[in-house]
Amino acid sequence: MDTLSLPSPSYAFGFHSADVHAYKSKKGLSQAIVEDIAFQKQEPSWMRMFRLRSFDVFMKKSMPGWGPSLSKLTFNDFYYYLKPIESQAATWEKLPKDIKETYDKIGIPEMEKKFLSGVSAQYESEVVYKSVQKTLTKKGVIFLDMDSAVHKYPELVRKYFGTVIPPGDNKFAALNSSVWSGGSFIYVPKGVKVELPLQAYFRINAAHMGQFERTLIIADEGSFVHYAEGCTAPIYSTDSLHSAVVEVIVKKGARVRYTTVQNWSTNVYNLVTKRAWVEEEGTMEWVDGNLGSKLTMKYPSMYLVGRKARGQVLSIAYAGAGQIQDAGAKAVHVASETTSEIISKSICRSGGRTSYRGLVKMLHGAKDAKSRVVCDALIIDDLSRSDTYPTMDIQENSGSMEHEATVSKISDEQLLYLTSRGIRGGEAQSMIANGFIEPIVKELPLEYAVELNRLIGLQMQGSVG
Amino acid sequence: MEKKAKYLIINTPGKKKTYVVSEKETLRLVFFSTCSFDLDITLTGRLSRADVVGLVVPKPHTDIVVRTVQKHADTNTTSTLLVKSVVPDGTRVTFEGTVRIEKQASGSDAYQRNETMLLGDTAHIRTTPILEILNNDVKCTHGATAKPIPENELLYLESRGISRKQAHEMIVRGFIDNVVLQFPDLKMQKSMYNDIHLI
Repeated sequence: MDTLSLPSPSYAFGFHSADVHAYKSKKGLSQAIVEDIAFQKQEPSWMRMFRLRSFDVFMKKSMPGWGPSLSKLTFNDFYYYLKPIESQAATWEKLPKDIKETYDKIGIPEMEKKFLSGVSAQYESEVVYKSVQKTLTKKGVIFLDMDSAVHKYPELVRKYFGTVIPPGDNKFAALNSSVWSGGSFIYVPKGVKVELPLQAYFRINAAHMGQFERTLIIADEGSFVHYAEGCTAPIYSTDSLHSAVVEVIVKKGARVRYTTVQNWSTNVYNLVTKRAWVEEEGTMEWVDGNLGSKLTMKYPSMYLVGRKARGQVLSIAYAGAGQIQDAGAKAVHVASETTSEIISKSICRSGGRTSYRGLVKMLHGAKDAKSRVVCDALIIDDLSRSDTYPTMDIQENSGSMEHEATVSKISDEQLLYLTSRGIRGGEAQSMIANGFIEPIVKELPLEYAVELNRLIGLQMQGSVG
Repeated sequence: MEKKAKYLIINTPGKKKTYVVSEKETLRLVFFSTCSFDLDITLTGRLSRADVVGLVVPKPHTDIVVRTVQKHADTNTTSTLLVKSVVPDGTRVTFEGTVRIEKQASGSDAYQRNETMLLGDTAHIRTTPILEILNNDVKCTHGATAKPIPENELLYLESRGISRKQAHEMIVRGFIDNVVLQFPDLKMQKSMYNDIHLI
């Protein structure tokens, strides 16, 4: 059985429940495991072939030659597929007790009561609970877990799957393409606006368990959808690997907002590829919060391929002891009059390390493209480190680009002012830190914003004796 | 204390220019470069300071790389750097500017800025301003911009009876003059305008 280390007191969601897996693949990664995953899921042959092709690519690709070290990552140390219960539960009541308990601690039922338009909660590798409101179905919106979508909507999935992020993109995209499991599939028909955010909750539960969810969002012409995901994971003593692939297709005049709050426990490698393809007058917005994990490498990207396409990334990163948050964004301007905006805020303390790594590229012919990048970093103590590695590649002479970055500590004047008002050091620091990330937090759905403020408060107040 | 500024005109790629600034000293550097160029400044003594301004204009049909490093290795050190690039048609400039604050360099203040003007359809700029900060008691800022000649400014000048070509030159000159005019020698200034075909 798995060994369990004591959760640190500051990690609110560091509980775990006993393993109840109906099926667990062998440890490690091989062609046989990939074949077995396809067999267990009874997938059509095109998907099986896609997995096998991707596995070949994965074996051939080398590890990224830049960024934080991944030398401690051994691919054969993980389980690549687990199926928690035999089939999907249609209602909340039918879910197994311990799974329900896990969700209760994150607070899913209350939220659903409030205003969730659809919940698709991922426990381990497969979605075990989902409820899509009737109104969504009536409008023709498809909100499903990816596994079911492969069976129910094979034409749609086959047409778009792996088109924005092909397996050959990078080693981890290839890994995900060969062993993916779970994730969400969303299709919004022409002109349909989904008013409430669609949400999915993710959890990793078994030690050594890799999560490879695969999300595909297609927003047809003139539609709007907001997809929100939040991740929390129990603490284990061995490293876990999370490597998701998220593909978003924004058609003409559509708008998609994708919100993530990532709070994996500090033993998780979080290596994610997220990319959006934005057509004429479409808008893509990534709101990305990275609080947890041991090492996160995540650079949400947008390819602005249609005239007047727009992209925005709002990113917050927090790194505490032993954590590296290597986050950033990528904007590639292909068409004319495209605009992008990237705003990144990072906080590091207790030896944590935050890096902004980004790319703005304007190809020749992207007439009058505009881009603006702002990165602000806060370093709380002298054990921590903050880096900024932006690249701006401008091949279009009518393009216009601005980048600015600042790194500083919490100013003594601000602290003195607050302490003179009777606010204690730790509390004052957390107020200032929360104020620093406020411009992005206010873009989050309410429950995420509340949780984020609470988490920052918790982390910061622990820092001062 | 304050030293006279150093002036560099670089027309052939050479070896890396290295400067070490010791306690309470100030380095003032003004450069003009038409080719690849490496500049490495280390502030090794407390209260040392470096102020750098430079202009980069590649020779026709060249692809050049300009690297600068501002390394803060002691307490209360200050550095400022402004590199302006004018990139004519058919050329490419890669700018890689690093600010590194070492662990022991508390009280450091660093500033870095790269401004680029793209002239011509196939001008290409790739800029990478890097910050590596290992100490929290710092103030570090960097900025980078790349812009074409603004059409509305051209129009304004044309409406005042200035030819488009002349207007073009005036705007480019306005962009580079705060570097060029820092060179005390008129001959030097003239040769720079020459290099940018502004004379």
